[in-house]
Amino acid sequence: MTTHLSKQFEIEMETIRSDVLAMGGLVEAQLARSVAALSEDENPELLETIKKNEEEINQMQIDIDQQCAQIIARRQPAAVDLRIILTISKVVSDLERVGDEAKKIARKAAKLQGNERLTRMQYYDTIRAGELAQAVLHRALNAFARLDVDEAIATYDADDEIDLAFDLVMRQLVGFMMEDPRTISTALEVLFVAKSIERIGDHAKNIAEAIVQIVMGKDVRHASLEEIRGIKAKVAEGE
Amino acid sequence: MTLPPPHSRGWVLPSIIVVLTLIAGGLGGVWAALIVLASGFAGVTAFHLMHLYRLQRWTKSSLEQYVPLPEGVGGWGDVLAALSRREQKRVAFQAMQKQTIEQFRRMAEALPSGVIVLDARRHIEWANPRAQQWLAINLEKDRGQPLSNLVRIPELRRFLADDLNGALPGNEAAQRALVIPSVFDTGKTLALQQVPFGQGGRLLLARDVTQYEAAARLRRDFIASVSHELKTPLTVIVGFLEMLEETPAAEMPEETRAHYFELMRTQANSMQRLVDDLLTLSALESGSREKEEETFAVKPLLESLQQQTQALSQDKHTVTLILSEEETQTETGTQVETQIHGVRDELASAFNNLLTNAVRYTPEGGNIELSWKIDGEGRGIFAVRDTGIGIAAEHLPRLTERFYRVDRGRSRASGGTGLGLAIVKHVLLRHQGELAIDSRVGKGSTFSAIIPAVRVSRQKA
Repeated sequence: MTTHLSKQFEIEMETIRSDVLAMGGLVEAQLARSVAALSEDENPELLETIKKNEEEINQMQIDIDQQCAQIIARRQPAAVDLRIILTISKVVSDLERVGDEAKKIARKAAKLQGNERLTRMQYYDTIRAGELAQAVLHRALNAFARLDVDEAIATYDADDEIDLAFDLVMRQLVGFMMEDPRTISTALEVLFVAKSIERIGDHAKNIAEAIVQIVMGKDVRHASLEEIRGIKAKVAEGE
Repeated sequence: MTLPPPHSRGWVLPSIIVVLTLIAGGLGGVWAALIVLASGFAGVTAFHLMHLYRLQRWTKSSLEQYVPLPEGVGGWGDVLAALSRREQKRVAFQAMQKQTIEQFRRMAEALPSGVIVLDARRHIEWANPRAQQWLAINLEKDRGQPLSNLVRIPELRRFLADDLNGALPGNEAAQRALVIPSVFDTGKTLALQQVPFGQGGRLLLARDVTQYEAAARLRRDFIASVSHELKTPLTVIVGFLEMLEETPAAEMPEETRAHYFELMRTQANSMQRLVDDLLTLSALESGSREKEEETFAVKPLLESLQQQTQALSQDKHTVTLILSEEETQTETGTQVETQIHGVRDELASAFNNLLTNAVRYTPEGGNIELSWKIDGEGRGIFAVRDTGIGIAAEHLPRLTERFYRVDRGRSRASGGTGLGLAIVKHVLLRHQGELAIDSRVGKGSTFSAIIPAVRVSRQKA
């Protein structure tokens, strides 16, 4: 009887994890679409698709949260399982925010398409940062699938790179605005895109922190990279 | 060596002991018989224990290769020899099986497709190296992980949810192929198919269709561009035609009518040019136009090109022709004439395209310089240098793409079709040559058509 129950529980835990990753897949696709829209010509269906997916992402967030609550109520999970359940809620809300930022990027991209004030070459670095953000999110979700602390920690470095790219983009845009004030409104749109990208990097990092917490049982939300590496070494010794 | 049947020799020792005991009993009485019997049993026990010990030691040897069994005496010898033969057969059989498995593994690795085995819950059971590489999965880490956790493409999830039960040839789910565009990390576009496999599991087959998809996309883009390019002038013509139809002849001044016709003529001309270029390009591409290759002198061709260019520019530019010294030295009698072996018309139109571009993109008063020289490797280089507006570096790689334009408005205003450089590239490709572009914004550009050495020859004039 008990083995049957624990088997059932295992399946429930796995389903929930798979659902989070399915939601992650949707968010990734959403982000990919938005970033691609930055370097595309007009695409009339873009905003429609983005809106439809956004609704699906929101629904998934609600569903997963409900599943988490039910598991806690019915199974009273302990140790690593409880940590997973608790952090999943956080991961899911980060994913939902990434979806929101992606939607913002898509809206700005639709405005930038066909805009003559700034050419694509002038916000190439923003597009590049968008691709970086995609990679960071992808890595973070891979780390979540594999519960791989090393991969999670690697996303920290990647997020730093995005922050650097954001500074660079901002400086460039200020340059364009000073050269030619007519570019100001367009440059501001690009700046909002860059800010969204920077936020996505932060959310991906939050997800990575959640993974470290799941695996090592330590809250590393405000720890520096060195501290985390130290904790990791200690946990490894203890095992 | 023929051995007696195993069971016959096991009785030899006990028989000897019984005979010896009887003899001892007859000769020395009961005690002697008992002593002989006891030592006989002790001897037999020691004999068996020794063999048993050897056999036991042997059982600890490696399973992988044939280790000969210990030799034995009497009944033991027979049993051990028989076991030895069995062991030899077993090892040979095992080696064969291993080879078969190895061969299957190599086969799976050599397959040009990716193969993934999923269990009933879509967890990864096995994947060949190609599939692992394409989908960025690592079998060691990811065995037992749901595939859609790692390849998080929403379409794949739905695809894997398809029910394959009763997947007979008629089942549509089993026939459906899924194309997943550019997998993250690897950028591959893959076509996936699935068939039922094992107990409720499935086998996924992945084919790399990256190239094919790119080609298909190119074709779609091309058709879209052609339609767009033709539609623009056509709209203008239709507009004027409607106006001419609706306005009574008496109400329209003669010069307005003439002006309309002129505008329509311009648009019709540009459509004509476009269609001509398209036909040229398609002929070049299909290779159907098997024109005669000939050997012709370069100098006369260049001189006529120079005149044409001068005429085209309506003397707004200075057009100069620069030839190498040996080609111009007439007095010393060492004059050399270079020749090209190829299709004269095609090369002439390619060179002309480069010159037309130079005229189009060089402001009034600029210089256009056409030159011909043989480089160190014997290749012929036809170069057009202008002092025009130049091209930014980021456009250079895409310049020979059809309908690629740095500046749409200017290109159309100057009557370009967007196909000129594509034609140049194709002509040169057909002559195993290449097009080199060097350009700086605001300074000008140099387009060089490079003709391979085998097609260039020198002749004393």
